[in-house]
Order: sequence, then C-alpha cells, then structure tokens
Amino acid sequence: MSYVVETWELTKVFKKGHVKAVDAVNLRIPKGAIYGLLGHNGAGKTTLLHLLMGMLLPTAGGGTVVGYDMVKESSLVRKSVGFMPENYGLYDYMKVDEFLEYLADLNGIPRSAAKTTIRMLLEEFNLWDHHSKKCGQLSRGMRQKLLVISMLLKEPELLIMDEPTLGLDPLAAREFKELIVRLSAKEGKTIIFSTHLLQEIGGLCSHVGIMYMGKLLIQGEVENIKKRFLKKQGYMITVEAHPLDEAYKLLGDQLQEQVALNRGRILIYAHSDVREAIFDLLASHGIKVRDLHLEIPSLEQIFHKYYRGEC
Amino acid sequence: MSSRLFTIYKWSLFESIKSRRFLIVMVAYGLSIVMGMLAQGLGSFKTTFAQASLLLHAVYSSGMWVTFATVFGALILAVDAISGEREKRTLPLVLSQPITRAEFIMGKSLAIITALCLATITAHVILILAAISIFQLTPPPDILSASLYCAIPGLLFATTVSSLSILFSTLSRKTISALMATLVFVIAIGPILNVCAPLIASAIVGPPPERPVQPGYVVITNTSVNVSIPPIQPPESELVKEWKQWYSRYSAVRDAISAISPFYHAEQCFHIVAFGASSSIEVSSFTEGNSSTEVSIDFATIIDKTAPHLLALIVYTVVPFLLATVSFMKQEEAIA
Ligand SMILES: Nc1ncnc2c1ncn2[C@@H]1O[C@H](COP(=O)(O)OP(=O)(O)OP(=O)(O)O)[C@@H](O)[C@H]1O
Ligand SMILES: [Mg+2]
Repeated sequence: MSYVVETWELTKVFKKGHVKAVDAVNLRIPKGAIYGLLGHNGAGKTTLLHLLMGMLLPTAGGGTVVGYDMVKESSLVRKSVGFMPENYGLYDYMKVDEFLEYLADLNGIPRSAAKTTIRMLLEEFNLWDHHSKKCGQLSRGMRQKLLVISMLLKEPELLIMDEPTLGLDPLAAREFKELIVRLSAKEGKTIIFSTHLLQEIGGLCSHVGIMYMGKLLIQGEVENIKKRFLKKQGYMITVEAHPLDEAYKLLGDQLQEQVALNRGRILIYAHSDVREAIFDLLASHGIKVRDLHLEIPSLEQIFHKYYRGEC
Repeated sequence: MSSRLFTIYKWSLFESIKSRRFLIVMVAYGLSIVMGMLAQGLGSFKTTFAQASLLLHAVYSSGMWVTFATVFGALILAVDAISGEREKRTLPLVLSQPITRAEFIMGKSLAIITALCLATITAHVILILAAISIFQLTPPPDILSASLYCAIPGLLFATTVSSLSILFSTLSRKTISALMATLVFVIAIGPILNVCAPLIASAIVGPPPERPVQPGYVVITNTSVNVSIPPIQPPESELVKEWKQWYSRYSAVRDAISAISPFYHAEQCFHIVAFGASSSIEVSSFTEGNSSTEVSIDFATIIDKTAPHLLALIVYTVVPFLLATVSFMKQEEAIA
C-alpha cells in the first residue's frame, strides 16, 4: 500500500520545558484519505503537523511526505503540500490579491499564471468582490477561505489543515465540509486535518488518528476502528418487541448475555453481534420484533472512552 | 536559495516603503537635520564660505540629531520584524512555504535595513536641495560626491541600529519587549557609557596630577584634521610633562572603553566629516579671502580618519545580523 504520509517513531521534545510534544508517532496515511487527527488541547497535533511540513526538526525518528524526506527535502515538501495554520493568521496590512501574489511568488509561480489562477480561485470562492480589501478587514470565514485558496494555488496533492473550522459559524462549517468532500472525491486529493470539534467534521473522515499526550493511541479507517472498539467494549443491542415482558423474560432466560429493560425497550450487552440469534429466538416464540439494532458508537464516544483510559 | 531570499527581500522592502512608518521616519530625519542646521545658525554663514562644506558641516556637526533620528527610525521600522510576525501569528503561514528560516530572516532584515537607508538618503537629498534653494547657495561641483561620502557614516549607523533592533525582535516574543530591550541597550551603550567611560578611565589610570597653570596653553584633544594655524608652544615644565603623560594614558583608556559602543564610532565619523569640512572652509578663507569658489574638501584625510570607525560600524551591523539569523534558525515555534 502506498502512503502519502508515513512516519517512523517521529518524536519531538521541546527543549524549553522538556515537553515531549510528539512521542514516537507512526503515522500511516493512505492516498485519497480524509484523515482526522483528533486530540485535546496540547495533545501535540500542531507540533506533529509542523513536523510533517519540515517547519520543525524532529528530535528523533523521521518520515516521508508525498515521497520526500521530511527533513532532508523539506523545501520540496513545502512546495508540494498545502498547509493551513491554526488561528487564520494573515498579513493584515496586505490586500487580498497582493497577499495571494506574495504566496505565489514564494512558491515560484510565474506572475502572469499566478494572476489568472488567483482570479479564478477568488471567483470560485466568492471572494472576488473583496480582492482589493485589506486582509485585516475580512471576516473569520473569509480568512479561512483565503487560506484555502492560498493552499490551492500550489495545486497540491496533499492538504494539511490545523483546526480548519475553529470559530466558524455552522453555515460556513458546512460549506467547508462540502469543499473537503469535493476536493477529495473529484480531485482525489489527500486531506489531513486536526480538530477537536468532532460533531462538526468528524463525520467526514475516512480515517482517524487519536492523539493523547503526544502519543498516537490509535489510527486507521473509521469503520475498522469502530469494529475494534465494539470487540473490545462489547455490543449493545436494542430490541423493541411485543409483548415486551414476555420477550424480556425469554431473552433473560435463554441468552448468556446481560439483559435490561429500559423505557419500553430491551437492552442487551453482548460479547458478540448476536442480532440474528435474538431475532430467531423471538420469532420462534411468536413474538413480534418491531426494532432490533446494534448501537454503533460515534467517533466522539470512542474518543472520550480512549481519553478516560477506558480502552 | 538566492532567488527565494530575493523574493522575501523584494516584498518586505515594498511593504516597508509603502507603510506609513516610512514617512514618519523620513519626517524624523528631516526634523533632525533642520534642528542640526538651526543649531549651527545656518543663516549667519550665508554665502561667506564654501557652500558644500557649509551644508555638510551644518548637518554633521550636530551628529546627535542624526543619531537620534536613526535610532528612532530603526525602532519604528525594525523592532517588530520578527516579534510582530509572532504576535500576528503569521510565522506558521510563511514558514510553511518553500523557503528556509534563514532565507526568511535574512531577506526580511536586509529589506528593513535598506528601507532605513533609503529614508536616510531621501531625507538628506531633500534637505540639501531645500537648503540650497532657500539660502540661494550655488552648489559647488563636488556637492554630490561630498554628500554621498559624508552620508556613509550615517547609513552605517542606521544599519547598525536596525540590525540590533532585529536581533532583539528575534529574541522577543512580544514587540513591546523587543522595543524595551532595544531602548535599554541603546541607552546603556549610548548616554550611559558616555558618562561612565571617563569615570572608569580615571579609576583605572588613577587621579590626575596637579594641573599645571599655564595661561594661553592649548590642549588639542581631538585633532581630526590638520589645522594650519600652528599652536603656540610655551616651554614645557616638569608639571606639564607629567600632566600630559597622565592625560594621554587617561584618554587612551577612555577611548578604548567608548569604542565598545557603535555610537562612539558614529560620532567620531560625524565629527571628522564636519570638522574636515569646516577646516577646509577656514583654510580657504585664510588663503583666498572672501573667494569661496575654489574650495574643495580634503577627502583623503576624511577617508583615512573615518575608515577604522566605519569598519567598526560594519562589524556592529554584521554581528547582530548573523546572531539574529542563527537564533531564528534554532528557534522552535509551534505555538507562536
Ligand atoms: N515552541 C514550543 N516550546 C515549548 N513547548 C511547546 C512549543 N510548542 C508547543 N509546545 C508544547 O507541546 C505540547 C503540544 O502542543 P501543540 O500545540 O502541538 O498541541 P495541540 O494539540 O495543537 O493543541 P491545541 O488543540 O491547543 O492547538 C504542549 O504541551 C505545548 O505546551
Ligand atoms: Mg494546535
């Protein structure tokens, strides 16, 4: 399998305060993934992303980003990877188009080509009307869009974003989601973003990595992570049946699992996915099954469980 | 490497010159030069002496004002070079572009230094032209080369102070702390050292011997240029000899201490330029009476005498510049 980003025991210790901000991280990010890097404040997400961009030197370990060595070829990494820093820091005294021309210039994009691309992108993101405004006059949402444009200028195959939806209103956040989906599906770009707003963009991810105190606790495809989580934590199955009492009694007697009654529903905590067995059992006793489903944990629940050390 | 450094340089310079601060610095320079001219009583010279010399003398004999404006300009243009980027959180953005930290800080520093130099030169040119037209002076043929050469110490002082400000800006998290640090440093190596150097020197050399009472005796302590009037030499007593010995030791130590400071070197240069100019005025007025057309400035002497000081100023520019570069390259800013 070819990975767009791969690191080996990547470690960063800040001399100041002896903080182990990133601790032996082995990232594996496949091509085309939408990879969500989850973690609380201070987990080391920003540091990890800066290491990938070669903006910081690792204390130990290393890795490759889009095929280039993170340390030795960091200039090439920065040339071919779009990066959006946290906090939307822009040169407030520059005009919007000037700002983009500056970044294009830094990337060695010829002036005339840059001008047409900039205009096209500004129009696409509905910012053309603001092109001669100072960056400082833009709203948060516009600043974020401008940074997205600045990444796209490089025509990168990989986009790395640090907390890209922080402080955006729900509408802007949704627009952003749609953009990510479009970039990923239509243009086949690989996208990495860090976040702690799981409800907002958690659903987007095809892959996640959960960071805790510098360590990457778990990573992989979201579906796999959920499966693994269920195996470890057990399966919760909800049943609605008629008549209820009869069904409850039957399941309690026949199943070797924990069964409880709650607000007109039967909850079963099982060691495996026993939905079929339940259905067969109830059906064979002439009990009508109205609903029978496995509770799939949300990323958020998984995240919190990992955090509390319950996993 | 060089083309990306140049990109940073070009954009930073462009931004500096466009900014309002640049104008403020020019005004400060202008004011300082006007103050210098007023302090010299320019009106009273009028057309008696050689105009080129007169102007240069007027500008540089009040080196203090130029020094003032330069420090002010460096603070305004350079002190937020890096700390400002940190405060506005723009560093991660620019450092995620295909440039290196070294290219970034060097390009930016060079741009700021250039901007300050441009402000200096522009202000000089404007004021010299203004003075020429206001006082209806006929500019002598070597006015341009003279002004240019005499602007060099001013320019080098500007590069020194901006390089220092950039260093403090690189080391500080906040612009305000960079500003305070630069100010404290500048005051320490400027006025404070100025006051302390004689004290320290006399502490090292010991108290002076009894001062000889010699009416009419002239001690020439700062002979920047050969003055053509021969000093009157009375016969030297033992006391005088002793005192002269003490004084030469004392002044050597004092100057050595003062030489720590770039201010000292700048002031020496200003002094040499100003008196170099005025001595040629006097020479000419003695030899040719009222005629002032044939006067030219003795550049050879000025160049000779200013050279070591200019060299010191270059060192003072390069060292902080390199220190700032190295320290920025070693910094780890993930959260800044
Ligand atoms: N330049 C630095 N010097 C010293 N310590 C640092 C530096 N940058 C980050 N750290 C420390 O490293 C750890 C990880 O910080 P980092 O900014 O990577 O976390 P994060 O996951 O991005 O947090 P947040 O969600 O708040 O953005 C923190 O403990 C932080 O204090
Ligand atoms: Mg962060």
